[in-house]
Amino acid sequence: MRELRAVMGWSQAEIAAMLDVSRQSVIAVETGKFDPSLPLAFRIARLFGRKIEDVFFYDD
Amino acid sequence: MIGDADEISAMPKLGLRFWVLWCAAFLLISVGFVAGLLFLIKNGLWSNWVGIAVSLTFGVGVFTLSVTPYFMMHKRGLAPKMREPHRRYTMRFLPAMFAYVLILTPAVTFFQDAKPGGVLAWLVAIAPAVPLLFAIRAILLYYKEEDDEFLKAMATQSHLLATGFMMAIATAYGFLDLFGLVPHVQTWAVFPVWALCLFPAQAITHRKFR
Repeated sequence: MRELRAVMGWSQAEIAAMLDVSRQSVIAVETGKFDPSLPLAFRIARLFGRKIEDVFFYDD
Repeated sequence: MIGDADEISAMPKLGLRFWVLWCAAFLLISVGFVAGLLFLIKNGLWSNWVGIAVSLTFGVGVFTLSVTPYFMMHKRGLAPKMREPHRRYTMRFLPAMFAYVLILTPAVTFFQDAKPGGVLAWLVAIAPAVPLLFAIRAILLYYKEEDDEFLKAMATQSHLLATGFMMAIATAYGFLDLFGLVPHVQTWAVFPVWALCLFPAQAITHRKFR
């Protein structure tokens, strides 16, 4: 997510505003401290114009 | 630090020194309150006004402690923007707890001194519970209004942890009480103890997500 955000040139605050979530949420998701719900994960992927599996990976 | 620069921590850091001092102040206020109450009661110094003064001092102390981390974060430019549900929760919860501190001692002392009967007795007896019911309502409304799932998860974990602490304390104290080793504590103390348990619970939860 961080890489995609960098590509788009968006700040954490900007993407938080676009998703209508707190900046802490964006940071927690980016750092892997918090797994977003499926609806939020879809919203994040849609924001980047990607499929959900392009943004989030299942880590064994 | 609200700007364009990336942050790598979801929870702002105030540093170990700050939290050590904060915990020391929290312990000092809590122990001082209990010790002060016991000292006043044992030495026959308890009165309406003394009780109100002690309760107010404790309430102001806890209130000051609870807002200090936010004040320090603002001062250092670390404070995240407070979302509307959290602002509403704060504006509901803190006044309710403050009202509780204000009402408790006068209600108890009035009941003991004036010995009201009938409906008045019921009204005076239930009066301290009313602000606490509003505080519980503030918590329930927060869960209803908060639509940020990360912040809601943080609150859930903090509240569950505080409930665990409170149950552990109540269970241990209950058995000590059963065998007459400690003074009896009424069940109304459950919510204030739970609210105090929120402090360490939130500190642990914030540390986990930092």
